[in-house]
Amino acid sequence: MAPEMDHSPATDGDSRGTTEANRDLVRRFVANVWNGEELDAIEELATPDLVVHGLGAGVDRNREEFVEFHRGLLDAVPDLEHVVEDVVVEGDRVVAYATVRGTPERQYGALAPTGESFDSIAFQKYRIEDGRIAEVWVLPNAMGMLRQLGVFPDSPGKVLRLMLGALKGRLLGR
Amino acid sequence: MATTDRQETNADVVRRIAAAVSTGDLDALDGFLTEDYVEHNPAFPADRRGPDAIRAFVGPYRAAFPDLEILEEDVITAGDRVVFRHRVVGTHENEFRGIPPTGERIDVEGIAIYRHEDGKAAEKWLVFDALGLLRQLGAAPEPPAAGDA
Repeated sequence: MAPEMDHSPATDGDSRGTTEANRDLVRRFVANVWNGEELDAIEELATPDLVVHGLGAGVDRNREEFVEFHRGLLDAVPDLEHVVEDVVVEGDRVVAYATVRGTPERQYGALAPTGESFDSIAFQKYRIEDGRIAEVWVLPNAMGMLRQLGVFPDSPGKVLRLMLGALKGRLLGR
Repeated sequence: MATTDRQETNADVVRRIAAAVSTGDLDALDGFLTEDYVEHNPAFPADRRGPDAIRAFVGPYRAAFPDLEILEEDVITAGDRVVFRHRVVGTHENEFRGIPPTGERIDVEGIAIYRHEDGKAAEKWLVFDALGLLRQLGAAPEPPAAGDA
């Protein structure tokens, strides 16, 4: 995919300007926040009542919780890098399709320091309110990342054995 | 065709693709996908090419989850692109990738960008929460809490 392609229709100057401003806002959020260049910039780039959905099995986080979570991630995966490959902007909604790379140096959630790196894909959807990001939905290819790190079985047979093991554990636990 | 009309058509095509998968009318896909349609899904090493490859991919899902349905969450259009944020829901009634039927009701998120050519979908970039699906079927461990790590 050609990176950073412009899919915005040429319309009147105002909506064109808003589209460009929203695209630029997301670019700055990716560089400063996701890539950790200046995490504190979130106070300027996002609304105080920001909600981030979807990082870690359906958990919603407010701005403070998200900053804490993401600071921990950057600490565990110091070379974490998002590269935006494609952006679609319609009004106040922006979707970014990004490659995500990194090498965990210590355990964080399911990410384990196995010496391996991950290089996968994540979608981010943003809702923008008065020039600031108010809501973010994230969907990474989590299974692909865990497989690349070698912490997830790569065949249905192994998945089945894992499931039976889990079931057994559950039964023994009772 | 004016830009906005074309975008309406593209959004409609994406909704019809979802409807074809939801109803199981997979032959209808020929009307909405170009012959050399390409689908990129990072969960699999190879891209899928052409409507037949998509039918071969969707078939086992429909067999395992006979009431499978794709629910629209969000449609975002710009130029030749349509973003489709959705949930896949269904009941695990038959074997799926070696996992015996659990009777579990699944509810899994996906996001895709479609690129359109002449009123049909020509290319798609998809992320589907396959890990979430396996967790809901009890075939993958629940994630450890990252904050406690």
